[in-house]
Amino acid sequence: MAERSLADPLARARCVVCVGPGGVGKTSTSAALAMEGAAQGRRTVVLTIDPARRLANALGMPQIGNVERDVDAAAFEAVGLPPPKGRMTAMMLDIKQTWDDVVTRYHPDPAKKKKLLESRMYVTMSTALAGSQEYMAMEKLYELSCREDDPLDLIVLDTPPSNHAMDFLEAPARMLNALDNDATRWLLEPALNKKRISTKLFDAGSSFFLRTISRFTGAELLQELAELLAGFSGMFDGFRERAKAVRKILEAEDTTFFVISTPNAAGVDAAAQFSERLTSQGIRVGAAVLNRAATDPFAGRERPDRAALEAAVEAAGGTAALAGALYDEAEAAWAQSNAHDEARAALEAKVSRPVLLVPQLRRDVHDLLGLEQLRRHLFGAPDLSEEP
Amino acid sequence: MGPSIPTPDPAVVRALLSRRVHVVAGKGGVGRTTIAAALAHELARQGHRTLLLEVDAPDDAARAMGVQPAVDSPREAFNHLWLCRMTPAGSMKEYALLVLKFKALYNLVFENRLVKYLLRSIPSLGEFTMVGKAWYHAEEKLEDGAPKYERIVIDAPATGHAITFLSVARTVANVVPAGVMRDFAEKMAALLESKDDACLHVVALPEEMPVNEGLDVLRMGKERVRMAPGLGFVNRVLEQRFDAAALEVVDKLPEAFAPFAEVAKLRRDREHWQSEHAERFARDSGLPTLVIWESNTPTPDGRFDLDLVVDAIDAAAEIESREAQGG
Repeated sequence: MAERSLADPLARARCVVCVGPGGVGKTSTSAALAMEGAAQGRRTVVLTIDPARRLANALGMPQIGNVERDVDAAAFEAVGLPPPKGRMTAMMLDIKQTWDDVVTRYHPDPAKKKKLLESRMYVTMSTALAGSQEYMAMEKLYELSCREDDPLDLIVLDTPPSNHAMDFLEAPARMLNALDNDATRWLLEPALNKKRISTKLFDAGSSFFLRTISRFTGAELLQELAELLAGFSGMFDGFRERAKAVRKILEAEDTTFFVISTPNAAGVDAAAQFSERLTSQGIRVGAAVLNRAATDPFAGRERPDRAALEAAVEAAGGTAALAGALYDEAEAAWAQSNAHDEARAALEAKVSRPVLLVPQLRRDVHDLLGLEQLRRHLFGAPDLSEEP
Repeated sequence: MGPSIPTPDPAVVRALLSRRVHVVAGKGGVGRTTIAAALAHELARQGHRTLLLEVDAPDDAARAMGVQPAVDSPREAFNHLWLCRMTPAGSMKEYALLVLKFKALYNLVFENRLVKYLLRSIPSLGEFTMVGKAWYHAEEKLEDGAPKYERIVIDAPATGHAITFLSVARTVANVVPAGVMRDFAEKMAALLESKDDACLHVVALPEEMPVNEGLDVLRMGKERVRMAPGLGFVNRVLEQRFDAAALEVVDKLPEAFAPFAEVAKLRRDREHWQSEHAERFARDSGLPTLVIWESNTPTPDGRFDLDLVVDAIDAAAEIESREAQGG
């Protein structure tokens, strides 16, 4: 695996997006990519969605809240690592806060703005609406990418876990569609303009629909919803423009997506699907990373047979049962390692992108040392001594 | 040997199993579906009419049990065990039909493209109708007035969504103005919040994030949904294979056999940090916690895993095991 590295695609990218299913080490991989960027002397930020507490602490982010914090040189020195040449910051996405920031910054009408921020529907929507997380990640990406003071050389974006490649790309559009849609406006118009939705049987226009739906939701809910949408009015052009701008950033020459997954059958299928869908959308996939691969304990060496091991174990004072257990354990490891190597090769052939296998690390990745180990695997650097 | 976790009190486990509504939650990929399927299997085997509701992965549960995939309405998979999937669209339709009574009206209004847009823009309506469906099945009665399903097991969505999913009834009840929807929401929330009827089981793997998320979902379940805690499951825990004496022997092996020593140490290290996480889960959750051992020979369809969980529940509740009953 040493000959493959993410060095090239990372060096060419200003914006890196890590996508993949949940629980595959996306956040750690994002942080390790950022460490490499900073090590190369680049001003780097990593934007994570939902890091493990200990990882967040390691990166100097004690709580969420959109606050960009430095990963201090001292934090590196404390664990015996050289501090990176470039400045590295990390931040955690706070969905609600980002919504509030966007509304506060872009809403054209101060009175409406205040009313919107305080409405119950807005509070629910800004935390619970599907697609909200993805959309806000994009708003944040836009903001970071356009920042003029303290400009960034490298932005690494972690994404919410998802089973489908397109969730991240399409969620914002879907959400905006739902919020800002002529149809929605037309349907809700009666709720907005009249105090009560018409109860007349054959009212003109949308009232009939609205009345039927209101039997389902209650009329008042629709009225609040109409008010919510009205509260956003004046902002939609901005939403759309920024969404377009973000899409441009995502399709740009200097943006690369890395697909992160695991080398088991389901993980490899997911990675192939992510990669193919992204490519078909005009998105550049730099490489795929399969985390937690099994390693062959006998890589490059001859495998002793069962009888030989048994003799050696007995000579060392152990039982035949111990020898059997050792052999089984090793056999399982090399079988799995073979399977993972094959899965890697098959995926690489299928997606025509470099695919890296990262071995299961001996320790949980939750501190800078763990991230450093991961970084070395991703960039083909010599391995740190695997300390006990 | 393995993590030192207090053995749950069998009477407590049995009392929890006697609740009507069981919600199984946890981070994605921890084996929630297997645990939920095993739990449903166990309850059905005890002779209760049991409905397993699948939110995220309806096919996985069916595969684990070796039966036909779940569809939108309950279908009997085994004696006493019904399987049903819940999708936002399917549940919304059922709910709308329940309220509207006329299919033609439903088709005219809800199948309308514009209306579909609108409904999608209502926060959490999909989750709401799914909880509504669960509530509806919990309330269904047979002709003699007995509940149609005596036990309902809900395989909830993964953490983030699970909290939205579970709290949606209470949120709607609090946020939505008086009306049809609030009435439904109140009833749904009351069922989930009932200490006698419902409980929240949490599944985790013995790893950092799954344990954190398991603890999060439990805390949110208590605070935001006011759900009673149920059982904890730490899934796929490695059994101790090489003890200290074995490792001493392994250290004395000649160079040619060094990789075997590496393998043994790697295994021991994993066992160690798994134990720490498993113990932390049991301690911080305070749940009666069941350890499910990593299966040595999992079959592709996961069948073996299911039996492992069923056996663990039997043992914890001190219920006669499958074998003793003859399968």
